[in-house]
Amino acid sequence: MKKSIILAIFSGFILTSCLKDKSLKLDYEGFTPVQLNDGWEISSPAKEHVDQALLEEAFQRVYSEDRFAMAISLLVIRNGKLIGEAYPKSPDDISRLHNLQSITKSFTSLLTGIALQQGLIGSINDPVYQYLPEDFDDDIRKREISLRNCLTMRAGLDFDNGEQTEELIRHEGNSVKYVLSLPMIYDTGELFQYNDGVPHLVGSVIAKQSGTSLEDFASENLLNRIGITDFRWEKAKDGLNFGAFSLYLTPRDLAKAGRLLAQNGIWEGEQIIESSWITQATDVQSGSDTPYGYYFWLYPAIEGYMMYGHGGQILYVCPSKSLVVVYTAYPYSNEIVWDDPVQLAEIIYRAAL
Amino acid sequence: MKRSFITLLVLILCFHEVAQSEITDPASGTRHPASEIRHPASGIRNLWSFSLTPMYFQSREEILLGSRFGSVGIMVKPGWERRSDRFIQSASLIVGYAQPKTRIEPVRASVLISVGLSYAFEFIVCEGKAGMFAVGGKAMVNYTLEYLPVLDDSHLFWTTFMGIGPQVRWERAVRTKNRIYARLDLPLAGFLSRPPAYWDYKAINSSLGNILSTINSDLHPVFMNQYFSPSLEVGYKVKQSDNFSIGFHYSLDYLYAKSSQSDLYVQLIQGIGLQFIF
Repeated sequence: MKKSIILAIFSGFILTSCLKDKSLKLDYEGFTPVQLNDGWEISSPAKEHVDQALLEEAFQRVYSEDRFAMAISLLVIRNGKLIGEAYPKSPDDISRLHNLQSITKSFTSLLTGIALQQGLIGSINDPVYQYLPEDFDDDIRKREISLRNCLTMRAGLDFDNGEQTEELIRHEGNSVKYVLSLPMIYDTGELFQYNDGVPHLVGSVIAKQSGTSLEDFASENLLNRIGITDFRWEKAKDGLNFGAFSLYLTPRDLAKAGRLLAQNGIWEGEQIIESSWITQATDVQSGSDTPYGYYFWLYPAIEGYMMYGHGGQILYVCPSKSLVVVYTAYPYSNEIVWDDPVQLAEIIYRAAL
Repeated sequence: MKRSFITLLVLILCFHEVAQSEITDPASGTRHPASEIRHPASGIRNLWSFSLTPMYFQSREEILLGSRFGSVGIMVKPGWERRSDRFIQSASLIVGYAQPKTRIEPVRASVLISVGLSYAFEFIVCEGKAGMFAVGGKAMVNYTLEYLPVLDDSHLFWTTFMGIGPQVRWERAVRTKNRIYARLDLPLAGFLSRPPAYWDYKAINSSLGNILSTINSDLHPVFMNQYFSPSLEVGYKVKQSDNFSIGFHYSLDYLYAKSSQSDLYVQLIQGIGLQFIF
């Protein structure tokens, strides 16, 4: 009898055994930034006139709500100073390079501005054909695609991110030729069609005109100058950096780009990017429901613009409030589990008095 | 891929050689069928089986934040067994399918496919009224492939193991014709392949050739502390005729896989199934 009871209990235990559902995030322990020797000045919400309670709400939401299940970092910068940061998954994420996905496009836009400044590109009205004639096929309509058409996602090429992005990554031959081999589905300049193909053309023009790789051009002319030395940028099989995705930065270094933009392109007294380019790139040039600049999404309701990447990563800049928000998340999750991190930016926008 | 098959083949052949050396006639040096060694008159029985096992599948993939996936699924297992008076050889193929989901996913879109191949050789240690007890070894290759498009729409997740370990089996006759049994195996060492903890490219090449190559890539030697996977099956076989039996079983498979290049993967499968033995 005793044996049977023990056996029954044991069997019951086995049959109902479950794997533990591990907590998706660490325990919330506030958002006070850590002082590191990485060029960031640390301040507090009170000193920078930010509502502590609203800011707290934004950070707590990231920790407590499943809709931010994939969150990796949240950083808030006001007046060029870091006033809040948290890493809900692992404290190691503070120094880990993170795939920024389509935020990369905005960096390509900034590099375009620098290339224009340096005279490497005459004008964004120039046709891409002028710079990369050897990569075009016989379709003469494609020769009309201008850099502006590419920067506003109005090139007209039939590049579908669902299929062609994967093909672009694994394409063995010339990656620019691959993008340009796709048929025209609209007349160039006619319709906004967001995709990963045309920023690759823009990046390739910059690389060719600078006589170096996009990565080296970025390193020398932008990233190193704002104190970013540790980064990675993936390449297509032909060695060209992807102009649309796969730039890796730490969250704090991404925030430096936001600070540069909030300061109209000036970094420690030096004009890195002309403010006129930043104004153009972050003004309405294109878009559908959400207005679009040159690879920047625009949010007039919160007086700012965003770099936006797959998985829900954002860099939000509100120049009028000298406010920058960085939110990064697992970069490969599908849209149906990102809750729009714009909501976080809205709360933090309201917090900045 | 080729290297994996060679590794598996070598493991099976080594294992088989050790087993076969035990049934070699030392006088002549020639090998005889196991049944001829001590009981020349007795026959060798070849049994074929097919089992269908509804299962409850659970896993935790720490690359994906450690969230628990769960779902019901199905396992099918065609098998072969060769019994003599002293030895039992068996081989089986297990194919499992489930659509696991975490609590944070609004839709069930994930797919899990597991494929396992194994070969076991057991020595019958004792056989009497208390039942039969056999101990031996098992060589196995197990693939678990998951596509989890809601949490990761760009990559495949896999756990590949090729290795060896002991297997024990106990059987006892009940009401003359029927038998209850229990079987336990535990891999001791082998090679493990897991995805990296941090991905590079946005998407991997999803062609079949690349998938096969990927799940067999970067195999690392592991021992039980990195790949702990006990597998238990208890069941009851009802003899219907001389050539046909039906079995009912409960199975429990646990897996803890942690290799140096990847994060932890944990899996728990419980199944209650039906087996047809010919």
